Amino acid sequence: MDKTDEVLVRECLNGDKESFADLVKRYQDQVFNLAFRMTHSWADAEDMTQEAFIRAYRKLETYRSEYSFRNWVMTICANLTKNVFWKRMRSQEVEQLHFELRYLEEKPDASVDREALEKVLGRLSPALRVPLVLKYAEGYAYEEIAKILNIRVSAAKMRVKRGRAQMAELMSAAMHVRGK
Amino acid sequence: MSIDRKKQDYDEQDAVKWIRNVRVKAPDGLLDRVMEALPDAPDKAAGNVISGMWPLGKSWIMPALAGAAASFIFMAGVLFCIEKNRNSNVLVTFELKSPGAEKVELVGSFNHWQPGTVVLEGPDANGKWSATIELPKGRHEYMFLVNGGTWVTDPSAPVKKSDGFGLENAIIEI
Repeated sequence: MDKTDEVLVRECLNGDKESFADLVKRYQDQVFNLAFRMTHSWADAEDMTQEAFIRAYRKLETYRSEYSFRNWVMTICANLTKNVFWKRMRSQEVEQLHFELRYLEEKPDASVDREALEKVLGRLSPALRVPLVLKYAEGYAYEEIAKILNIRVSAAKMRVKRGRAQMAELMSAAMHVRGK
Repeated sequence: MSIDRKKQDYDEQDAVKWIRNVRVKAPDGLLDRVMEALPDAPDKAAGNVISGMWPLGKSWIMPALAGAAASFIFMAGVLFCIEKNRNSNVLVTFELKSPGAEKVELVGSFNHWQPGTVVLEGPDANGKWSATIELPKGRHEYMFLVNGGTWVTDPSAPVKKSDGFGLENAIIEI
């Protein structure tokens, strides 16, 4: 049976550095996904993910077990990435992402056009994109999203709702163009 | 579905289905890079310096008479250290003029850049927000977080430093 996060953290604090590798393995995809959705840059996301885990390790003694380790490290990552995130949101930057398909997680629904999805997501504001992905791709509760992004629960719900609507609009627009 | 090439209008349910498919995997080798970059051990929290000085095991209980005297002397020493440490901290007031703000927070190296720990009071009649906190002597970097989303560099800070993301952290030396 897998050790709980709390046990692994305790082992780290008792000097077993390798236990931290289990925590990184467990959450690296989620943290990277968050960083990528915030920055929309592979290189930045990789740096932010790496830095988030290093900071989490350094500050491990301040971690409180009543808060989930996953949410704690996600919050650290969100704070580290904040400047890239807000800067891009302010400038309403629209990126043309050269998506590296080898990093995409394989899903059983092969009918999804991943490249088209990523392009549409890239046109969505990070303020909507990040809560949307945390909610539906990662399965976070609204309360958790609010904590990670330091926003109110009502704001998290509103952003997810607006994100869904904009996503549908953008995809319809894209398909209309493609259909012509 | 999906991004069904025949379909031209999509609704929110379609959007939810798509989003469920957008997880990305961390790049190969990230785990190794993280593990290589880790320091030897986590930083020691301030509170554990004192607990680390405390003797462990039964040897503390056995010599009861000596222990009573030793514990008295030891506690006196610990209290002296705490008091001395407390005296080495400095009260610092942070201020930001932002009359239109609804909430202003102070985040910095002293609270691990965690929002929600220091919320400034205000605004006063001049639109000024302020908070006074105790900080250990040394160099600290900080920024204000306005309305939970806008990062503002302290305009009154004499020293600033690029944070590498296009903004500047204010620096205070005490």
